[in-house]
Amino acid sequence: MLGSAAFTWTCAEIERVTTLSELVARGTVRLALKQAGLEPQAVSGDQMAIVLREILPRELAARAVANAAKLCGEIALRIGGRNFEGGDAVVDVFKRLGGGK
Amino acid sequence: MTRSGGPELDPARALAALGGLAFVLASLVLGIRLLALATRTRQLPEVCIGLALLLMGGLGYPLIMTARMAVRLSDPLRIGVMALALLLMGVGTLAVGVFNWRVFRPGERWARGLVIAAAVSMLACVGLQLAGPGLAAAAFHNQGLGFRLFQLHSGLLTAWGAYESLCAWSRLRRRQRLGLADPVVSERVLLWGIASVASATVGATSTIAGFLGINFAATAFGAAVTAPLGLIAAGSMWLAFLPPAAYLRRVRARAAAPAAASGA
Repeated sequence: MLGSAAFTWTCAEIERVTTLSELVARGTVRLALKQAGLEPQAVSGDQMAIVLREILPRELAARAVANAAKLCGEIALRIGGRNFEGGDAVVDVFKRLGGGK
Repeated sequence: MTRSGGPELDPARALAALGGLAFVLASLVLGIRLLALATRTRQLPEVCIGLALLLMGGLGYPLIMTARMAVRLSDPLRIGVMALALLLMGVGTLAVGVFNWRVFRPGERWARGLVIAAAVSMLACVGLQLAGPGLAAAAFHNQGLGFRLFQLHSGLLTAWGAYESLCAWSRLRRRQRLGLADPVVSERVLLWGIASVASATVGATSTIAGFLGINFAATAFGAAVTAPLGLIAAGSMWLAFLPPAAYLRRVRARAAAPAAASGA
């Protein structure tokens, strides 16, 4: 299944700034998203920024990436300006079903 | 229960009737409300969930009970009521399937295939009933393999919805810890999951009892299942789609409490 623009961009950035292979970078981001209850095909840029700050530093450190927190913080800052949109039908529908409450 | 006289209303059956009545009323009110919402939003999920509640819980279920228990009505009328109930239940069941597909599995071909298969299968079940004992057996004696298998569809599609809702709630709960989910929306998904589990359990138990030749609605066991689960389903749906302001305040306060504690 294809990832969202935010997912694809983040994986590419992690691969670029670390020694992780494409496969490991994508797997690591997938694991972080799973912990956050998010899905690669639907995650937005704003959501990914929080995952980059809260979860990915720990995951990258576990894979022997030096300065993981600093690297993730820098990627989180850069993704903030890119307006990657996401989408979640469940959230959208159940928000409407409350009639605005 | 016999055709000459109605069932006596002992305490267990009265409690079951209360559970059933609460479920019917909640389904009617919320079904109409969600269909009214659908006229404003013009979105398919609202139409589907509104139709499912109105046609299955609000109309189909009481019509089946009417066909089965209103012994003073003429036989052709009871058969007609059962035919109408099956039509409403069939459309409502398909609405549940389409809701599950479009909300939880959009773009998944297997989900669309499952809904189409359910539609074909329900038509086959009606054919089986008509070719066999007929609608009279279903209306008067709660009998017929086709009728039983037809009823099984609503239980299975509702159970599918329950599974998807609870999985979605599990994801939303994890997001909530990071401040990425609205606690009220998470709660609504959970409540829909609980309501679906309750109604699927009643449906499945009733169908299995029917396969075993037990008239579920007339037994103390049936009452023990229907009463609490009917009330749970009704209460969960009400809190999900027509929540009192105090309840919403409580949900938000409960979600804010751990965040405040961790920030302190």
